[in-house]
Amino acid sequence: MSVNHPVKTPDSREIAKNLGREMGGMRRGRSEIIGSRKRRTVVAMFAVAVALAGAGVLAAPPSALAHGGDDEANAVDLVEQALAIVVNTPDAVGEALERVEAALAEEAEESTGELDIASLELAAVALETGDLHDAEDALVAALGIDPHANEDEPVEAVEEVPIVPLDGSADADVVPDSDQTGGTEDSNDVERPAETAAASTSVASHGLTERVDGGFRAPTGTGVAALALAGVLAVGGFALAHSRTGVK
Amino acid sequence: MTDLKAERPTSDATPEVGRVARWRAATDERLGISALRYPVPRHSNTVAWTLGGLTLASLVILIVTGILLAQFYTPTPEDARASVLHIETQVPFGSLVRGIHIWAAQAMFVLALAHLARILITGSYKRPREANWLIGLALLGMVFLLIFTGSTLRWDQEAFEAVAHNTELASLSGGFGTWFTPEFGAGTALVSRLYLAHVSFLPALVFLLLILHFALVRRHGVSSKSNVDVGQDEPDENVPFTEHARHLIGWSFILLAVLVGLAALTTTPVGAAPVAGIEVTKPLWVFYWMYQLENWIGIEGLIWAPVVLILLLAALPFLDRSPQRRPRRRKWVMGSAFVVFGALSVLTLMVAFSGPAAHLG
Repeated sequence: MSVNHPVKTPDSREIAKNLGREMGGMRRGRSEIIGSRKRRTVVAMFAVAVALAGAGVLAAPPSALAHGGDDEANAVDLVEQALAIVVNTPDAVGEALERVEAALAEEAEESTGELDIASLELAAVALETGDLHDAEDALVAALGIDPHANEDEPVEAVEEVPIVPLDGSADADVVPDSDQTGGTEDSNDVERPAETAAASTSVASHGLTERVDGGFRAPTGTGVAALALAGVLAVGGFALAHSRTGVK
Repeated sequence: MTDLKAERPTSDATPEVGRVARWRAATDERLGISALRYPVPRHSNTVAWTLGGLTLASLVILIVTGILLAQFYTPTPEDARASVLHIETQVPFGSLVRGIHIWAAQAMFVLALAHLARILITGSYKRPREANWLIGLALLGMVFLLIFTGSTLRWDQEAFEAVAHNTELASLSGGFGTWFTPEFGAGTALVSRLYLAHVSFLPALVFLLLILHFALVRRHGVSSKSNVDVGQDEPDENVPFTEHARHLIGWSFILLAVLVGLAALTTTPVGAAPVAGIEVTKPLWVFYWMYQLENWIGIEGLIWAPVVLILLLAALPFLDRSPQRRPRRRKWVMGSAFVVFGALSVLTLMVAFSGPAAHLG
């Protein structure tokens, strides 16, 4: 059974309405095109602005290097470097020995009086034989520091001394003489980490070589309590995570 | 009679239940807690969909332990290392708290990477979540910066060498690196400013990004499993968010238990006093891949490698625009990801099995 729809002839009002709708659509389309052009222009301008700003920032004069790679190290610095190598990378004994020998040569050429030469020679021998423990002690002694001083005493506050941090943030120029290091050092010649300077004057529990090595440890009182707490947390957490629906 | 006796206990219990219910209703009226019972798909309660939440849990642990450590830390070049040694040896539970802090930082990094891997594998970065993917990458960058700044604070040889790299990079970066140069705040030591960054504006940025991240997760909903393509309806049944929260809190406790256990069974190192002019340490393993690139192409590698990696990851949602989310139907994405991840792993292992190298000359 077919259904005959009555043919409806559009009257003038309807034609005008449709025309208006089409015109509106065209207007909207035109405004969308204009809008997208505007957006593209804005995005392009923004990109150019960002690029210009970036180029400007990049073109700004780079800051000076803070560390003194080009500076000549004096004998004390060489010994400190040797000590740091022994402490941090025991495999690099050769590098440490090179520095000790260079320090000995410098001191032989022009003694500064800042180093204990006998200890330094002992350090060289210890390094040659691969005895790192003795080498470390001798290097510390060469710097005028007793590694076992105040070993059992409570922690002392680090003595306040004028320092020149490596980052150049302090105004002080000179690391003054101290009882333990001896001599006066012009720190403008060599940049040294500030703490090294401070530690050199107060080697109690916070000496140059004092450190905590990473690794496993057998739990003691606090550790056992912590492990017990960990157990409780794990059981509680497991119960909570698996309550109701649990893990699927 | 029997019926009345049977009803009595019930009628006695009712006021108790009523009081609890009334208390709950009153609390909810004021705090709107029931709003948290919005629906999330049931697969939210799987470990893979909990990794992001666990990253947040790591951050919370880091904040709590960080606040405790900050009470005893002195952020000046002359006292920083001494104060860390003091925390390790003198402060009650200091070693344990520091251990938890350092393990939590590494856990956060691993969990963030695992979360990123889950998003990548399940194609959850696709429409309409592109913006959230970018925010997540920014958060990963923040985690990197937080770990870097944190690793410099103990001011031992390793930290000192890291700061030396920092200033060298600042120099190479021109104007972009200005903040990182010692000259920027000439009156304040660089380690003090790195500490400031570590405890103030980096965490603030993290919080800002996290708010955006969670707001977008709330808006788009929890992403579906990878067998649901973009535009398809979520087939999984819903559970209230409070159930997911309980699941997440449970896993957070397990994470905390692992961290406490690790901190109790290991010591976290503090090196010897720093000495200039030598490079005798390696950074934390997190930076190993960059370290190896630095071995090969010089210090510029420390700038270009992360930039290239971040740009590649950022471009992903705009390159992979198909609605398909199954890994098998996104072979080039999965293949590329595998190659990149493999390369990063190889670089990391190369440094793990080699000694330190000098880069700064």
